[in-house]
Amino acid sequence: MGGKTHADNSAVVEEQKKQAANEAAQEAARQARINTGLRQINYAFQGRPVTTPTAYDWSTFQPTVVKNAAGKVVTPASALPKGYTAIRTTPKGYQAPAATPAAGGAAGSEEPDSALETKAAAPAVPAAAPPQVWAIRGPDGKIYYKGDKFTYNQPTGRTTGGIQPSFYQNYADAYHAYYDPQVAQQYKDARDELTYRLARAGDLTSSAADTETANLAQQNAQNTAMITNQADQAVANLKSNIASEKQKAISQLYATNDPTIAANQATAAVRDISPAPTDLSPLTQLFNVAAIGGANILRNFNNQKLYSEFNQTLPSGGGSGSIVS
Amino acid sequence: MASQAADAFGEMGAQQKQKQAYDDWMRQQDANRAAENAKEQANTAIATGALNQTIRQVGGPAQQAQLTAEQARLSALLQGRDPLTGSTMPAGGTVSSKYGVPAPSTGNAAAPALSDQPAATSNKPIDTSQFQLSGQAQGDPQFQADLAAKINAASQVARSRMAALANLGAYGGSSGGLDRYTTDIFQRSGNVIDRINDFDRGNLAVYNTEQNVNPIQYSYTPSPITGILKSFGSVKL
Repeated sequence: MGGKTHADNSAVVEEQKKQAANEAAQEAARQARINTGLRQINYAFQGRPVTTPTAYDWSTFQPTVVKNAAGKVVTPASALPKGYTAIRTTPKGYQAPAATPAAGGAAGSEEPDSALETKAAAPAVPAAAPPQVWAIRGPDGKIYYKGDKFTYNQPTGRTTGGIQPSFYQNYADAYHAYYDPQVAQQYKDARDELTYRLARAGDLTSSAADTETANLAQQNAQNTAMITNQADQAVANLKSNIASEKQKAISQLYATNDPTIAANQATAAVRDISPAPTDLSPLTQLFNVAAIGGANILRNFNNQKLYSEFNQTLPSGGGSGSIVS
Repeated sequence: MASQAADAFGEMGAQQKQKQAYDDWMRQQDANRAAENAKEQANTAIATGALNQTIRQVGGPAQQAQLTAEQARLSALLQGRDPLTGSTMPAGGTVSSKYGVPAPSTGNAAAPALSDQPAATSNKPIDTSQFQLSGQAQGDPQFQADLAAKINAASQVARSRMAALANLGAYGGSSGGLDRYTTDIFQRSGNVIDRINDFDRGNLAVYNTEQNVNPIQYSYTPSPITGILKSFGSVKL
């Protein structure tokens, strides 16, 4: 006899809920892809951390419950491998007691004298409050109870792949390999030239020779340092270039949300990194060799010229005098 | 009468269902809002952490420490390749310490004044024979002593100029100079903040969609018999 209650828009609401759930799942997947992509880009540029399987040492597991200022309970996860968390959970193998009280403790396999167990794990446990023990939850969600053997990947601090410091060192070495011989050759030429000039002037072991020899050595040191400085600046440019390539890979990751493309881009960038073309033109003349004896040569030349001119003005055959310069 | 009562109960039931639907919708909206707030707070904490780390690393003390370390590294590098100013390699120098990424400075180290002496090169007496020109080995002792003195003086001048060059390069231009140091730091934190912003935008879009989910609307349709009976009841015989 009565009427009927019905939902007018249940189909629409269901569809809206589906869309919201679908969008949430897609967004979560997208964020996971971006995280994966960023990790792969970092691996490509900075190298993948090298880890070694290590058995977990339970003696280091001493978690405590503390309350922060807001009264919230926090569990410090000290001495836990990265990705693992300390949790409070029911004992291993625990099953909720039946109608009868669980005298003698819960059916867990935890050791009764465990310091990690709560006092609530003792005999009379209300059914509503099961005993709690400390345990470790792995990154995969698996729970490890005290004494359970498991291994985790312990970082060694080393990395494999990526762009290692030796890459920059090799670049700087190549820079030196190109320029150092030029500096050395110019230094040798300058020393030879200075030796000739000093020898011609008869000043090879004079105080002036000391000065010029030390001056050349100083110029050589400064020129060598200049090349080293330029090599270091070239390394700086190379680092900027690589950082720029990494940013491009990250931008592509955000544009595509595809970690595979981002990883390929990063790998290609690392493989094809071409340093900004360095000015590898040959060095100009780096050393200034002092003009030694040049003044004497000029003076002698002028004297001789004056003497010749003066001699030609003398009357021929007149007397036997001579000019002594 | 019976049908009218049934309709009255039916409407009450519909109202209750509607109220329940609204309550459910409100609870779901509250949960969505709380979840979004939690995500946003977590993301904000990460972004703030990155920002704070950047502020620490680009702060005055940290930059001063980095500058000092880079000056020392560069000074040793510049002086270490020439026999006049140092040994052939910086003492204890390794590949990674020469061109590796500089370790983040703590910002607590006091900044010592940079001397014009090489930071990590040996200070053994300079062998002047390697700088002598051909024929100078036959020079008398006075010449040799004079040459040694001038070589030493030249060494001091060269070291001083290299230290000055290292000072200059450490501010910007060198592979670990302040320009690269700060650029790296801003780039690292910028990447973190960009990622968080991107995730926040995505989360917000999801939240907006969740907000647009409507509550279920219930309505009550009275029984047609009631209407017929009503019309009968209104007929005047």
